[in-house]
Amino acid sequence: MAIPILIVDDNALNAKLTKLLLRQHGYEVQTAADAEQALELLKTFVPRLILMDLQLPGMDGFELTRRLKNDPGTCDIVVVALTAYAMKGDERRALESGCDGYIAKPIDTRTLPQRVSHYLGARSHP
Amino acid sequence: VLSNYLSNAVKFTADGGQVSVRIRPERDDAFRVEVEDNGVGIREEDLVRLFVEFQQLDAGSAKRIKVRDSASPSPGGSVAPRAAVAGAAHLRQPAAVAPGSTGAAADILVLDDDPAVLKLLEVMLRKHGLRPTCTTDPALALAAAQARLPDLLILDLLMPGVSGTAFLERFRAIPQSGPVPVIIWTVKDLSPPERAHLLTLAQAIVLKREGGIAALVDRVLAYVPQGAAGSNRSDGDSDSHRR
Repeated sequence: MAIPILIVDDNALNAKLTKLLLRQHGYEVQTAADAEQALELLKTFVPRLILMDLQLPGMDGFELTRRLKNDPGTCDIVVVALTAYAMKGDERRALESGCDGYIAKPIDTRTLPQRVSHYLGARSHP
Repeated sequence: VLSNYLSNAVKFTADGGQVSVRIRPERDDAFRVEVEDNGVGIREEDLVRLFVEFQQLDAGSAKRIKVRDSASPSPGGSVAPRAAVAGAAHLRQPAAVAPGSTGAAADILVLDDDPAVLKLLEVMLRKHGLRPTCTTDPALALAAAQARLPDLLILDLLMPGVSGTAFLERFRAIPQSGPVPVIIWTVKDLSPPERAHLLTLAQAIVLKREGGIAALVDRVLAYVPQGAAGSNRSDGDSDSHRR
């Protein structure tokens, strides 16, 4: 069964590209453009991993991660932050918010699937 | 800041070389300062670092000096400029933009096979309030554009596996892609017929060695409005340039 992944990114084109890439690698992918949409979607869709853009309109990715990690229903989801390139402060803050790791933007589309697989610890996944 | 740029430009430009400073208004509440020299130049990978470290700076001018030093080739010349950017370091300090400026960020799709170039472009385009989506994968870029057209496409012609021209023909086959400006950004020497054909599909051709990233960003801004330098963003990325 395909592993479900949620992408939270307000850049729709970027979210689309990432979604297509991960689908090619056999994941089931949903996207949300902001925290509100993500929380709504999470009521019915339980991903194993979230790719979380930190810079979201309204509630940002740090706060959303904090909420998810404090909720027993969602705290087991692996959250990987997408940080603006070389914003070192963001990386530290991401980990403090509860993110399990981070990937710097621009996403390297050649290595993203391996990195996602690594974060999932999905040894059985192709 | 400016004096650091200038002293550095002078320091790394040989006697008889040229250092030019241009200041021009950008909008009501902002201006742009450019410092250009014809010195040894900065390697592309260092340029990435330079802008990256630069964007993280806030008030500490001491740190700025350090950044410039680290980004410059060593005096002994042991660091050969493998990819000197047009032989000149062309720096731009994005002008301060008042918070709350309006304008939706333009989506810029960037296709280039060099991840270092993508990193640099990501930083530069974001600095100008644009929303870059960067990839090295032509098929993915095309599929994403089919699902959602960007406001502008930057295309490197020399990608492994697919010719830039073929990519562009497929991009132009997407319904409604006609009005989307395309800027070709390439190192390739183009024959006049090749150039003429490309210009039937693209709006502009910018050669990487002529003016580098700065010329490209200028061209981008000729087609899409400069955003509010991420005014809806809460991170320090844009804050560091507000005074």
